[in-house]
Amino acid sequence: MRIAMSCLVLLAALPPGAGAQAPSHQGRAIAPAAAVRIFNLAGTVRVTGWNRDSIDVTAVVPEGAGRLVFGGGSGGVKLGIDPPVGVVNYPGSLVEVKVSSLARVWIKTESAEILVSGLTSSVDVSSVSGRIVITGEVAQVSAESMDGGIDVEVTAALVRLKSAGGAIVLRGQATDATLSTVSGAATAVVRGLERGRMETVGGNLTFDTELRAGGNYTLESHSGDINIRLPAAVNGAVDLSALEGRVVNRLTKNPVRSANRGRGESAAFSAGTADADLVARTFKGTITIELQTN
Amino acid sequence: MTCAQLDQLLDDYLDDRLDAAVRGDLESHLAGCGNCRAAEERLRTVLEGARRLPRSIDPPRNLWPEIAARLPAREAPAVAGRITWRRWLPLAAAAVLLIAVTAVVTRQLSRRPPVIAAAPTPAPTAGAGFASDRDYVLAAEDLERVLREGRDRLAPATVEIIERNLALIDAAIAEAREALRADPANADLRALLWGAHRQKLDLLDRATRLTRS
Repeated sequence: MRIAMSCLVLLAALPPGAGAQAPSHQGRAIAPAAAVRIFNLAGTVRVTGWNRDSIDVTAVVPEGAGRLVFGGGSGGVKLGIDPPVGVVNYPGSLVEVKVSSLARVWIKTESAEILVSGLTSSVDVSSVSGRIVITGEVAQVSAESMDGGIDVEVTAALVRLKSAGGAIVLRGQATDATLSTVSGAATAVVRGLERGRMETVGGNLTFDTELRAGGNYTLESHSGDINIRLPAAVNGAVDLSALEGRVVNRLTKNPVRSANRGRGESAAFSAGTADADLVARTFKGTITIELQTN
Repeated sequence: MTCAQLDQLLDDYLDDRLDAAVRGDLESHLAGCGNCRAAEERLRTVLEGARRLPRSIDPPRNLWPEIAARLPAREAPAVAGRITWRRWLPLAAAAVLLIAVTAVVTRQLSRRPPVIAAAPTPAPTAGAGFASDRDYVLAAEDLERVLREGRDRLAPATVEIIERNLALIDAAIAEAREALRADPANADLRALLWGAHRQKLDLLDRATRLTRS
């Protein structure tokens, strides 16, 4: 009954006129911490962690979209949609995977969106233009896209998010996080952060966190604005530098100084035990530091 | 200590910057974890290699052709229904090599304080690091060449995204370089220039990987 219901849900999720075929279904026992590699160029990949030492795959592959392949053994599995040879435009497929929550999962798509939840070990996903959404309590997260948005809400030790034109949003708790874009905006609303790095060329950065003892945080942009939101009790050294841009300090009474031969502005202050370091620099963007609102 | 925690502490461990208690925990974990021991040995090897590098080195211009020569023939037709695992191995090796080089460059740049130039120089250089503006430019040129060769394997929309973002980075590099000529002792400017260079290499690396996938 569960499988039948899953198939119905998957069929309903396909776009109209996709020429859907009956869902393929495969499953097998695997080691709890097995490596799972999934690929599907177009459509959707949805991966959910579950409390079983097995993998369960349901795929809806429209006619002309290729076929489901599934191989490997107990320690590692590779599965995905093998696209038709020599065909450029083909309909997207839906791949739904339920796998041991301890599995280490790797996903690669082109335009397909990637939806991951319930995994606890490591998630490594990449897409060219598909949206990426990752939620849950997972030790390590790595997500990479060219133009698709990346939306991650996790409790994690290590987070690495990278995009060129897509926007990145990180929420939740992380010990070590790096967010990198070229033209997309990046937002980190994170607690528990000990090491943070955000970098962009033209996108805007928003960094909302508290400074932890011994923490180290670096924010860099060329032309994008940098918005920093901290609690009232700053515990660390803050160094803000806009070489040809502006610095706006709404957090403390420390003055903003003209710098760089009058073309830029900077501000620096420290408070508390000052054992955390926050450095923000931009070439011609505006750096604003202000009080957290939540 | 978990493998993830160890991974974060490995740099400090190899630099002997951990206190005794953490160091003890880490070494206990290493003693019982083959994967982490291998990671530690790999990083130690990279660092040893970096220490042996001369203060200035030839840019990686001569590196890429050797990597490219090891890549599988791109014209090989796909075999329907078979997952060609072996096809990825040389690519993975190339990627690891590139990551290692990038990691060493990043490490050098992030650890060494910028050198205050005694006088304005015609082109910004990294000074204390082994990388220079020119090194980055040459490395980027190699990757750009590979990207041009594989460009027709990318969707037009993807090419447009890559070119738009590369243009943005190039404009940023040009602006930062110009500003650094006028103010060569500015450490923030230098950091922004290297950051833009790294972004460009990273984007090119990702784009060239796409052409092969």
